[in-house]
Amino acid sequence: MKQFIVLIAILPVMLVFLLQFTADQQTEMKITAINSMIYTEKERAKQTGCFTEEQCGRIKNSIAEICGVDAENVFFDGTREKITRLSITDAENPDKMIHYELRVTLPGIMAGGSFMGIKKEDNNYCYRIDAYTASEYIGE
Amino acid sequence: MKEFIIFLAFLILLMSLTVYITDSNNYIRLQKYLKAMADEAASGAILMGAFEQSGSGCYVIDETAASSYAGFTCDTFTQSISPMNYGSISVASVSSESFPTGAAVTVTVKWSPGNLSNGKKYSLFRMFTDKYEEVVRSSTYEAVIKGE
Repeated sequence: MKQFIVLIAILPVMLVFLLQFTADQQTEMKITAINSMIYTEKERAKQTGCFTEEQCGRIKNSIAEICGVDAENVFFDGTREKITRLSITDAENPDKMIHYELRVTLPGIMAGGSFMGIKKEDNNYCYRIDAYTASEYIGE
Repeated sequence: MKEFIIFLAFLILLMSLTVYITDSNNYIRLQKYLKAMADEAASGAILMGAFEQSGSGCYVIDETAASSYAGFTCDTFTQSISPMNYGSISVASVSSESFPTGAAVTVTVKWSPGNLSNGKKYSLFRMFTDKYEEVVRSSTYEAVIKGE
């Protein structure tokens, strides 16, 4: 009986660790999927010179699906006007590059958050990408 | 008492595993991040070229402009992410090569560990004494000129 009581007491503590491994892997998989998606869309934008409205919508929806959040909770914006190929004189000029920014909140970072007294609204992580890329678009 | 000792042993083991897995994930993420940065820097740096006006007429890379672009990419990438694993990221080298059918640019970026408050260098893997002095990733982009 004593062993059983001890087991009941320590089981939740041990389970939190096991669940945390799963939660970590899940978060990593989400980040990998987001990075892969953004990389593909960025390469597309390099060829076309900008991010289109339709492309931004698609990115938002896909990332919302990956992360299991509403599309309204995903912020993505990218340069809409066409930027032509980067020249030697503009190597450090952000106005001549394609800018893109992503902000998404990944929920459930800590497994058993409520068990450890972490509020649901605090148990998340804002993943952010804010970068520039050189356009390869040579015009019509 | 026996149960308590076993519990403590398991707790320490699981905590060690958690720390190790977290560090491993951070290390993998750092490598991917560096690779993405090197890719971006090299893909932009390859555009910093022009056809040589004299000599063989090869497509040559302006290494100063290529280095500027790589540095700009490194700065903007680094600013967008919160302090990455207590270290600094910089462009280690930018090199280019021209050949009759085009040119290639190789950009190498590196992460170096920062100092902790106790003066020691940060280690990517806290469980082990092995220190990663640097993490380096490179990317090469090649432009092939077609036509006359």
